[in-house]
Amino acid sequence: MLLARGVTGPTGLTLAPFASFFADPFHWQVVANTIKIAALVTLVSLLIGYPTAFALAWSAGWSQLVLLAAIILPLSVGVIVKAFAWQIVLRRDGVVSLAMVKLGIWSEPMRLLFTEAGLVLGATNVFLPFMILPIYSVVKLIDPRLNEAGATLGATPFYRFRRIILPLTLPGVLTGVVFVFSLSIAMYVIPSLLIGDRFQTLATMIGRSFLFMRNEQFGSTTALVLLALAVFGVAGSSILARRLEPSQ
Amino acid sequence: MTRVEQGATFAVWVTASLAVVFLLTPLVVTIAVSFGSSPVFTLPPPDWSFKWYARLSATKGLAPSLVVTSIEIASLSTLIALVLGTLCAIALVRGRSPAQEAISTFLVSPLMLPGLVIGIAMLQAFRELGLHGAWANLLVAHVVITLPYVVRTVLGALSLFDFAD
Repeated sequence: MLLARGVTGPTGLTLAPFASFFADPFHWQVVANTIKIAALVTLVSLLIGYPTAFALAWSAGWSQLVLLAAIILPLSVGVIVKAFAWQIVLRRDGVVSLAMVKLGIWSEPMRLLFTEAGLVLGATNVFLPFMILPIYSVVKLIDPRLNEAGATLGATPFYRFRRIILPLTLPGVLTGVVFVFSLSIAMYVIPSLLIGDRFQTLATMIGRSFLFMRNEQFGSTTALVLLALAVFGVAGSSILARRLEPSQ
Repeated sequence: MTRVEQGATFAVWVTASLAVVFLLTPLVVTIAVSFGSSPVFTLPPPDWSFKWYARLSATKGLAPSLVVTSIEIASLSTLIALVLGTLCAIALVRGRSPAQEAISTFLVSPLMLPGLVIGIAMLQAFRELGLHGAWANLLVAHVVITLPYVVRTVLGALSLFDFAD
């Protein structure tokens, strides 16, 4: 990361680029877009990933093989390939649209591509393994006797989940949240392929300013804003986790 | 098992099955499209064919240069990142440095910047340091990008590890 500082150094001599960055309401909109999408992706990944991690920890033999293959295999395929695949699936005449019409949920074919829902769906798909694997590595280490002991002592399932399972899995959840949040706040390829230039995030703005506008100063400024935002998110979530821990 | 637990177990498996389908969708689509005869992406393809694979093997210089380099870089950077990352994680868990939180955040920071920015930053840094070997630079860049994954995963597992044994 010292290397990244090297490129952002020239802007650091004065705070003027940051002042002009925050003076433009469009940039505030971009920052809001970025946070909103990253938070949504993290939330959806957590909702899908948490139960899946438990299934992976409980499974054995054949079902474990299928689950592991489904989680590990997509990691070996590049993001660009996956984004193109989602472009095909989310089109107006794509599989999702056709299935929704067949099931009677939508009255006519709709296009999910180039919408925020499509972006969240595609990004969640790419980042889900990074949520499942850390939670799984923690769930696997939980002694099943703890849960049984709780049951013997008359605790209800909900109470046991809240007081035994949840606190023990919290480190894994935190790792997953940090991973997915920092990945999705910084994703560049997925938004540019799945939503296009109309919807700018900080990352696509950085890419544009470096590649198309050749404005390295603006790019570096935006990169620093993004980095600050990501560090803030990560630090915030770890403080939140520490706040939650003493309750066990 | 009470009814609540059965319900929870059922919900877990349903979610997991849906997650499997969800995760494999892009792979299945990619494979299906690769066997299609159409030069543009369509699903389902009008006709099945192997012509894109034939085209691939006819491309000169693909196997020796690209495939071998990919495998070399991937295996070496995995090895280096695993060793360095595990050492970092152990130090972070066991150490009593006041800067621990800062260091662990610092170690994941390459994840927070888009690959594009890291790439441009590294290119400029390597140029300034006078490093021009593409292979070595590629290796260093890969280690920087893969290190956070190792550190974070090992850190999560170590937090439940009893060092007193």
